This record gives sequence, C-alpha cells and structure tokens, in this order.
Amino acid sequence: MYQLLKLIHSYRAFLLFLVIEVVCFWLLVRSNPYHSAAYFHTSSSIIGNIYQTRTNVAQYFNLPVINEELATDNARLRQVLSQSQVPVVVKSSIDSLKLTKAEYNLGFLSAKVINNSTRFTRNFLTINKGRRHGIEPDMGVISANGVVGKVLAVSDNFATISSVLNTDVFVSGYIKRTDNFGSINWDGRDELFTKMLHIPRHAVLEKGDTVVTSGYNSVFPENILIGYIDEFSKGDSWYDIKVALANDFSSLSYVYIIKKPLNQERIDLEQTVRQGNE
Amino acid sequence: MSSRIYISLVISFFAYVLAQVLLLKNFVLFDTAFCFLYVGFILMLPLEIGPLLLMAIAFGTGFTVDLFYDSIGVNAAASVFMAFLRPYWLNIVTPRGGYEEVVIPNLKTMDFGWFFTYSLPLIFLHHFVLLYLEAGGFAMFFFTLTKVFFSTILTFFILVLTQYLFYKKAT
Repeated sequence: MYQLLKLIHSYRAFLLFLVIEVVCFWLLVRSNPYHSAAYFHTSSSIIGNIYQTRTNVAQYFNLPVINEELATDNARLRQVLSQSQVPVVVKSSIDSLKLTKAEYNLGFLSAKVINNSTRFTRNFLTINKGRRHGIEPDMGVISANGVVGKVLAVSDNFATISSVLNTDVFVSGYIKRTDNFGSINWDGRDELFTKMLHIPRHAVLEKGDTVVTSGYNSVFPENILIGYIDEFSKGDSWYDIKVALANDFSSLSYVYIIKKPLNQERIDLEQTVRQGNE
Repeated sequence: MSSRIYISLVISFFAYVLAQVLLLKNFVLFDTAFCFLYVGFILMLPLEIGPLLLMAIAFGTGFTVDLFYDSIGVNAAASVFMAFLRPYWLNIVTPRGGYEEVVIPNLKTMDFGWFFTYSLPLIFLHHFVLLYLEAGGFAMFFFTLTKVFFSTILTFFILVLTQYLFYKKAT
C-alpha cells in the first residue's frame, strides 16, 4: 500500500495532467452542445457586459458604415411596404416580402451584434438581447442580406448565436431555379464561401443560381437568402458545390431574430412521429 | 515568494486575459496568423511555482479565455499541456549558471537567445494542440499546420514586443 502511494506521489504531476485533460475533452465533446447553459458561453451576463462595453467604444469608428447599411435596409423595406399596398398580387424580386405572409405570423426582433468571429472553425456571435426580450434557443437569426445563424444559448440580457460559419451548423437549403434540396454546411476554410451538400448529379446547375432556405427545418422560414452558387463539380455521388455567401460576416452590426409562433407545435408533432416510428 | 509578486501576478493575469479577449480576438493576419498572447502569462510565471499549481493556474487561464471564445475546453487543454511540459523543458534548457537568481523567466532576467529557445517550442506545442482541437481533428491537416506555424511566429513576436514595451529593463 505504501509503495502504491509512493508511486502515485511520484507521478502526481502526470496524473493531475491526465485528469485535467480528460475534463477538458469532456467539456469539449459534451454529447449535446445545443441547449447548453448560458454561463459557459459569451451570453453569460459578465462576459456579455464586457463585450457590450467594448462594442460601445468600438462602434463609434464604424458609424458611417452602419448608417449606410441601415439606410439601405430602410429603403428596401420602404419599397416592400409600397408594393404590399397594391391590392393585386405583385411578384416581387425581394425574398423577404414573403416573410410578411399572414400564415407565418412571424415576429422579428432586431439586436445589436456585440461580439463576432469569422476566423475559427466554429464561429459564434453574441447579441445584446436575451430571454427577457423573448429570445429562446434554436431561433433563427438573419440580417438584411441573408441567413446568419441560430441561437445557441440565452441568458437574461444576452444570447450566443452559432453562425452559419460553424462546422457544426447545418441549414436546409434549396436551389430556387432547379428545385433541389440540400444541406448547407461550412467547411471551415473561407469566410466568404460555404458548401452545399447532397445535390444529386443529374441536376442541371448554373453558376449564379440562388440558394435560399427551404423551410424543411424548424429554425428558418422558407425563402431566406443564403447565397449564390459560385463553383460546382461532379463528385462521386453528389455535386461538390461552393456557395458564395450573401452576408459579409465580418461586418455584421445589426441582426434580426425570427420568432415562429407555431414552432413548438411543429417540433412536438415531429417528435411524436419520430417516437411512433421507434 | 513575497506578496508583491502575488499582486503583480494577479494584475498581469487580468492584463493578459483582457488584452486577449478584447483586442487580440479579432486580430488575425492573412486569415492564418492568430495571436494567443495569454500564453505569455503561463510562460512567465515564477520558477518556484510547483507543477501542480502551475497546471491549475494554466487551466484557470485557458478556461477564462475559452469562455470568451465560446470554445470551452480547447484553450484550457492546450494551456495545461504546455504547463505540464514547462518544468521538463526548463530542466533541458538550463543556462550555464543555473536558475539561482532568476525568479521570473522573461527578457528582463534572461538573454534573448535563452528566451527564444525556451518559449518558441512551448508556444508551438500550445498552438499545435489548440488549433487541431479547434479544427476538430486532422481532417484539414496542412491548412491547420499553416495556421499553427504562422500563429507561433506572430504570438512570439507580439510577446517579445510587449516585453520591450511594458517591462522595464533592470539597471
């Protein structure tokens, strides 16, 4: 026994090293990173407040750009508004017009981005609104230009968002012209491009085809712009498609969070069906 | 160890971590060179700190940075790995006179050549573990290796620069 204790004592540094590393790996690969608690994320109140302060200082230097962005967005919305007052159905080229359909009854919340990264393999944003403003995990987040990501964790006043530039995030995509459905998943390389998976080889694609969200998921409504096909080649069983993102993730300043009122009903239904199949 | 050293350690902990998460988080050169200056805090802890406490401090530092990076476990694992290797590496690179008069290994107490051989391999190993964990494996081997290589150079450069700026040379 004494020998054993002596052995443990002489290797104590190595043993502690192993224990800490195991803890780190456990934290890293916890089975379900979604729905995780807010205090391990940038949405926790202390970290959120620090980033809020930094943004308040740094934003002064970006005011001209932000102003221009908001002005463009305003102009676009004004145009949508004027078209929607026309009694006959006008086919608009602007996708977000369809968001206002009464059947969706979508709610939008605007929020300021207070922390953002684009250079890692898993990128996240932090926004200055949280549970108190009605934000829940798994809500979709878009900007004036297109899809941004989905809410990962919320605290009272802040929320962490997994960006589309995150290799763990899959978004159901849809090629408008050819009616093909596939998954959008980032490969971790270039912040300007993402990949579209599972498009069968018989589809006839063209450079510049528009990729939008499909509505086959509970996060985004359909027809939100994702990007445009930039390059494609035929792989073994699927196309290998590179999509140029519509959003410039490095300059996001304001985003909109989508509230889908019937979402819980849909998730419950899908859950029931899944349980019935098992 | 006098209480003055403890106080200066606490201050430099906050200085390194805040600089890391507020200034250097989005400071990325050519999309490949990241700067993880906070490793300087672990590298320049006093020599008399034992290996167990050293790893505990490294874990705390890495974990704090992880909270701000939304990457729980990644920086902590890399920092603990580096802290585990530090005592062994210090033994190997012992200068001719030993460490008798040295309390904190930095450019004030040691010459540039020693600091180079001491810190560069440790920074490289830290970044190696960090960036491969972050990439989730060896799937993008050479892409990540480029990141590791250039990040090591950038971190070392900034680390040396900050020491010339903020540490007064003993006269």
